[in-house]
Amino acid sequence: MLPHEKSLVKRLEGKPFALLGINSDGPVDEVKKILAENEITWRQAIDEDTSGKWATAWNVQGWPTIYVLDHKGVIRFRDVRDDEMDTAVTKLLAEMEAK
Amino acid sequence: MKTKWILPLAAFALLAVGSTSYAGPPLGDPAKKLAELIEKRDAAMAEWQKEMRAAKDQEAQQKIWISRPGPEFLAGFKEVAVEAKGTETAEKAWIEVFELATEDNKIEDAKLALDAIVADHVTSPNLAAFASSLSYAGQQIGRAQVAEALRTIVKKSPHRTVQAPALFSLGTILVESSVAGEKAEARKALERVQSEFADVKPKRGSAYAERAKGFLFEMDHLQIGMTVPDFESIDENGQKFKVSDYKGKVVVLDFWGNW
Repeated sequence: MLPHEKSLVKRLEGKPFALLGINSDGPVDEVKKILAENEITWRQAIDEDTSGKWATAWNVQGWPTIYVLDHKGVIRFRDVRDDEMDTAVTKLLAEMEAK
Repeated sequence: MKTKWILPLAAFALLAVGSTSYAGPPLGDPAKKLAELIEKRDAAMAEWQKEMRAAKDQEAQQKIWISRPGPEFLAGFKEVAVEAKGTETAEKAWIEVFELATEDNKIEDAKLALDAIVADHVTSPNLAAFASSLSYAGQQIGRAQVAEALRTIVKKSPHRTVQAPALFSLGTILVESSVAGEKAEARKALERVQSEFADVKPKRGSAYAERAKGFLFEMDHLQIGMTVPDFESIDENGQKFKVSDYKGKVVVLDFWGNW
């Protein structure tokens, strides 16, 4: 997951794309340590733990859970990882540029 | 004359405290066997946990992990359950069989236990945790069979503390179903948990109604093709942000943890 996400973020630098993590590892200081250790550069929501506010409201039962949104904010894919995530994001960016 | 009553009364009081809904003999042979099995299993488990804690590194821990006790007790619990058919002892033994069988992926034994519990013990007040655990059993045992068992428990159990987790499990199992009508049944079950059982809580964790709310929200707002609901959170720098801040971009939302 992580190496793939890193290369995705790097490849799409400057494109209308954002990867947002919703993290359940703990309080902010702990998350910061994990981000530094793993050289994670993208934005994180601090959801504290697996029964955090966001995870609870959205009924997240397993980690990772992934939603891919198009530029209009419509949910287009769920739980796509690695190559599948690449393909999904590339497709939605192409769709956006075609308009 | 008076003193003669004390002993039988005391014995009766003891029985009343110790028993639940079954009136069978307090410590017949199968009951004794069951108690012994549980004791042996618990001792093996304690020993195993001690070894796990003493393990030097992750590799050693993994080796010990594989030898987790449990499977070797399945046959014994099953024997007791069959021997004591219909009694509280059988109920307890079948629940042990079900747990061990699902843990060890012994599907036939899990089905056997499920059938026996529903056929012989559906009115028991002690099925709450079991009904709740069925929420995870659909994939392993088969959605249709687990759903049917849960429908029976909901219908026949006289206990709200059992009905609530059974309805909740039924809802969560049918949410992903593609069988005609089952998705609607899932919604109805989850809505009933909210409207009729808002007061029922499991021993640990949030109320079933609270969890049902999450499943209904996901059904109604988080399906492919739906506009994403907005959510506000705080980032690693203490800054507030919303999903809607990212409109105009392709966005990946990744719920994750470093465990």
